Amino acid sequence: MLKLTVAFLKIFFRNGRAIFFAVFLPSAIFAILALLNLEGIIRFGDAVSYSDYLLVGVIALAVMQTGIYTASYSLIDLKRSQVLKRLAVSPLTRGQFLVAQILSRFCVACLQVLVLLLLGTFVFDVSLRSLWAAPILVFLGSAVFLNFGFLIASIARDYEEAAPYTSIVGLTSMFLGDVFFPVANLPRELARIADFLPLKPLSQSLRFFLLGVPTPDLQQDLAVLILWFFGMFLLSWFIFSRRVYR
Amino acid sequence: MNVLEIKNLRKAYGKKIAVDGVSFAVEEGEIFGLLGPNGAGKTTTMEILEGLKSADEGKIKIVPKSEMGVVLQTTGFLPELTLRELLELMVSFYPKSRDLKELAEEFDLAPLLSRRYSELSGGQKQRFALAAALAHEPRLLILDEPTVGLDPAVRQKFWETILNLRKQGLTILLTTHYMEEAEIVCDRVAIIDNGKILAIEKPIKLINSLGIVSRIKFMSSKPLKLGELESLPGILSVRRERYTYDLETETPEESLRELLEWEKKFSGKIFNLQVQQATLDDVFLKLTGHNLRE
Repeated sequence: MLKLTVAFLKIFFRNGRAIFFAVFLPSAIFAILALLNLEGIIRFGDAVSYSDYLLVGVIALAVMQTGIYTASYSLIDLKRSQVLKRLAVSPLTRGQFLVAQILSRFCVACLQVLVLLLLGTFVFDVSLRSLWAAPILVFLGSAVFLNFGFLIASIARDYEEAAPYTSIVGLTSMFLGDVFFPVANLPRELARIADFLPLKPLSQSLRFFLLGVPTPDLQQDLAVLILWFFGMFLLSWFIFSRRVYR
Repeated sequence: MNVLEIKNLRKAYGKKIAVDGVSFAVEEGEIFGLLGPNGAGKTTTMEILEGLKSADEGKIKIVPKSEMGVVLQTTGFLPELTLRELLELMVSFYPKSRDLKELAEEFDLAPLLSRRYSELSGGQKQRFALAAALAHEPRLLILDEPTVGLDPAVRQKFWETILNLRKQGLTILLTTHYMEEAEIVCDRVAIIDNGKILAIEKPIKLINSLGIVSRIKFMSSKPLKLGELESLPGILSVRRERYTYDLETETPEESLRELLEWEKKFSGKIFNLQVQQATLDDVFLKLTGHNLRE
């Protein structure tokens, strides 16, 4: 299983496009938006500067995108090129396969976060309060979205079929995820929905631990994340093992 | 001893019955071929045996996955990895492993070990798929249409390797719709059509048992009387198409000898002499009423 994890990582690092989307693009988005400084346009409250706010938002976004997009597309590749079938005839179990996928994506997510944190602290003067909770939250978040990716890859036959699903999950999360602006600015009903989607609790709790931004209900955020984690794992496990890897 | 035994296997997809009561057993050390056209139920049967699909009904006795080596129709390996990495990865799933360097040399892959899978040619991919299936010293090798899309030279080389493996005591189950190949390679074949097994036999017995005729064809420098040819021993019928004579016989060796004896007394000459033996293709046609490649 460890070998498979390493193999998935090797594949990721040999794919220039994947590195571009996972590492370079989020950094570029963060840098550009931080330079634009939207502080005057959107209300953020007093506790935090826009680059602080944005840094954590982009971290959450990057974790989400690696999960949904790269996982679903690479899994579709594995499915189409019969690699999954070849693995399924070996004694490797689907549990081992999924865990190897999650571990390798977690490593990628850690790299993304690290690059963003370095950029944020050294170039944009973001001051971090503490880091200890970050790996745990990043793990939870990437696992949730990875399982979204698995689910999409299990249902869709090719990229074209996967695209609408990834967009729905991706765009909804981005819009209601406290990524670029606080959802609190939106109508109350939308803001309420956002509380129960996975991305807002992730970015909100990340802000709490990394920046010390007070959050209305940390326990609820963590509970929502953990529920999504188990719910998505079971669902994608079920669908994946029924439709893809038996 | 049987490495594999299935009894009354059934599998339906909705209303379509893909496998309809298939039973056969594969003995240790033999090459067993499952022959049939596309959609006959071959692949479904294989996928059930490989553990990719579950059967609706039936009993399956088979070696565990750890003792099974599989070569799939389209061989799937992570394209970004090198052959060495792939072999090391694949054997890590199994309890046993061969010396990988030795294995690579055996399959002429040693110079390619640091190449990525995506850089290989079709023939090389096929060799690699076979090597990868053997890296964990399986007892049973399963080949699902292993030569589809390969050129004849590569195919021949592939079957030579398979015959060598049998000599080393490996049990092999394969599917193919190349009858000529099955005839040469398989110890026993099962003919499958519409999800049912129609016959299980040694290829040569199958051909002989069905009373399928062989053909002797030749041209003649002078017109011949058809009756004279018909009276030769073993000849069932004679037809003429322009200058070509077409004799049907159940005993091609005997009839040929008689024909050549007869020619000595014949004032003209016969030439372009051909004998067409009955093949598994003919067996298939006889058993199912339709052609294998239809």
